[in-house]
Amino acid sequence: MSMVIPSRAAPSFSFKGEITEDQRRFFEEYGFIAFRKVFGPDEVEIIREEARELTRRTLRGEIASDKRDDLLPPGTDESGNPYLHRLPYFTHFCERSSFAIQRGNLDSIGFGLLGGEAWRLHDTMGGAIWQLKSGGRGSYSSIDWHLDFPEDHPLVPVVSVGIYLDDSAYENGALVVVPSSHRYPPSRLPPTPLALEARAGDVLCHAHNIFHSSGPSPAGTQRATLYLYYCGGPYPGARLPFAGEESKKGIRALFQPAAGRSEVEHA
Amino acid sequence: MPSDRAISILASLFELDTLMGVSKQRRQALLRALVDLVSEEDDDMAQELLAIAALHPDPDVRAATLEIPRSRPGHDSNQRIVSWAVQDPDESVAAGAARIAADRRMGETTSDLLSVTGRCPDTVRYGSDIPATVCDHIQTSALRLLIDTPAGREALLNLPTPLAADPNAIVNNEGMVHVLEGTLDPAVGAEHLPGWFPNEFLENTSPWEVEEFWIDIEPVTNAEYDEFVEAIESTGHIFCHPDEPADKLHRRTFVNDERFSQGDPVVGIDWYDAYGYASWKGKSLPTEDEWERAARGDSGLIFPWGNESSSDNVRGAEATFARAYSDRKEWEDHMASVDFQAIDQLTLPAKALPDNVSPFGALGMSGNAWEWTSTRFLDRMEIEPHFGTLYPVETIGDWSAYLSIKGGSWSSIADLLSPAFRVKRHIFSRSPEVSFRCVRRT
Repeated sequence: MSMVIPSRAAPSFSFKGEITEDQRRFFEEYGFIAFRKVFGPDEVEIIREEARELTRRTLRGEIASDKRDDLLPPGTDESGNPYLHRLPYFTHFCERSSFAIQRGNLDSIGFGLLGGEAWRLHDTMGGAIWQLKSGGRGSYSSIDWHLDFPEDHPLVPVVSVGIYLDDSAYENGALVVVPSSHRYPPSRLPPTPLALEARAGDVLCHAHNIFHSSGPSPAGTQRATLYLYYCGGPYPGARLPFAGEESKKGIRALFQPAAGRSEVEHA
Repeated sequence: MPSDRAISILASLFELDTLMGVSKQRRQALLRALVDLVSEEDDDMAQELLAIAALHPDPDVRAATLEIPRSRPGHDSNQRIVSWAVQDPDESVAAGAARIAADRRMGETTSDLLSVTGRCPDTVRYGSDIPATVCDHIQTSALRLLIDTPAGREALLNLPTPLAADPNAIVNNEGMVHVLEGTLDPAVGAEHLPGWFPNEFLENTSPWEVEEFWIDIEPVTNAEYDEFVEAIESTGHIFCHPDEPADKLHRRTFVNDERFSQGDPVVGIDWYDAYGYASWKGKSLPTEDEWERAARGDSGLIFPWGNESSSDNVRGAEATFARAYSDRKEWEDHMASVDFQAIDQLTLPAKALPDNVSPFGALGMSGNAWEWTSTRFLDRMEIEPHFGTLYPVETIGDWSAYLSIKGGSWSSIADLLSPAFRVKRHIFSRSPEVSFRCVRRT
């Protein structure tokens, strides 16, 4: 379903193969940047198809436990069919998507924004993560305010590069950031948030320590994003878990159910 | 010399400000002493103490001043005391004052009471409003008595009428030009920009419909702005933005710098200053879209006069410093070394460059001084100021405190001089390079 997206919003940029000085400066200042139409409809459909296939394989038990998501329980769609919210190690399992990412030179976005030595998360700590947000039963509706990685995390600095597979508007729970919060401590007043709206095929990037959240999604809507993580810290080694068990508890608490539910339900 | 008694009372009034640790007996004794002193002495110190008490944060202190008109009917300060107190937000003060005004038939209090009750004579006569508290009853009853006094009848005849509410008001668009409704497409003509600065933002900015409006032909001048500053010394900050800091001084920086002549665009003013002036004139600050449309015309010219840059038409860096720059780095290096005090002339009157005129007839929309808009820089939405309780330095990291400014200044070069370009400025920033003009919307 195509959502109505207002045309006046935060500045957006075009990606032409490499990050420009102006784009990097914008990202440095505000902690986020949006690129329009990085992927065309065909490439978006490739990623969607592979996500559906990986979901099926995971539900059939074909994916090893250390490569499956254990953060959020499966949801149930309106027909009673289970679905998954997170598919880690996406580029590890999905060759065509991986190729589309390479063909689009997406790595130069992450590396360009980070500057200096950097690498992409692929075979460790969850790798690239496909994530689905839905307002339906058994799903989470919004994500509370948070920073992706604390400053003492071994991977930082990190740039999250999100490939949008569905239109995302304020009405269906778009990403909301506090621009420049990665550089300035909060003042005495509540910060002013900015919703970042996107169309399928756009790429939205944000710094690991920008304050962000996503708003509630109405029932019956879904939006999926494929997140690539570009890291400036040292490579920690292969096949490490996404997070420790204690950390996972805190992360789970960020995923908030739709109104009227006390927790994200197990299907 | 103030008496010891007066000094003692003054000290006590400050002590009472804390509202803590003062016993009831002591409080009453202090207030009695205050009332006695003001009643008996009429010197400047007594008047000063009265003013401090009448505006004291503690409503008990403010209410205590009413003892003077109660006990001294002929006292010179009675009208002043009652006029203040009748508009007090605390009903324990306001009700007492209204009762005194009614009992003593103080007709001069009518205007003050009307300002509290809504300035509606019909409500007063026919009681169509619903009184929610005893104070409402007392005020309405007092008004009914007072409007039968000569001063009261005169007050009814002279009720102030806001411009917008007066059907006979003549809206004066003198000094303004009419900009018809139309489309603003910021990306049009981008290929004509000199290209010294990145302008990718233009590619991804969508066209926008702008409704018709009037815009000042020229930026507000130093002389005009100084009139505003003088005016608010008597009216107070009633036209200013409600979010502006409580102790805001509107006097422009550089008011004593003779290089800025009276006919030049006013500079050294922040956004709140510009807002206050516009409001005082019954106008508004333009949105970024309005400003740009007024400057570029229907066909989206990259400069007000056309698509070619021209150092003859504009007060930019080349004119100010009488030199050309071969590239951006040369300009940046030079600007970093400039001694502001050594520059002979900075701004010019807008009329000095008559060819710097937009298709709609607005003068000086390129160079000379940047101009404030009401548009938030990052997301192009209307600014929603909420910073008045903070020190400016606390808001530096807040993206929502930055506005778009347009047009370039006497230090600008190339793309910066195009009305299509946009840069940001902090809401509290005062600069010798930022001015403004106003709009009026139909």
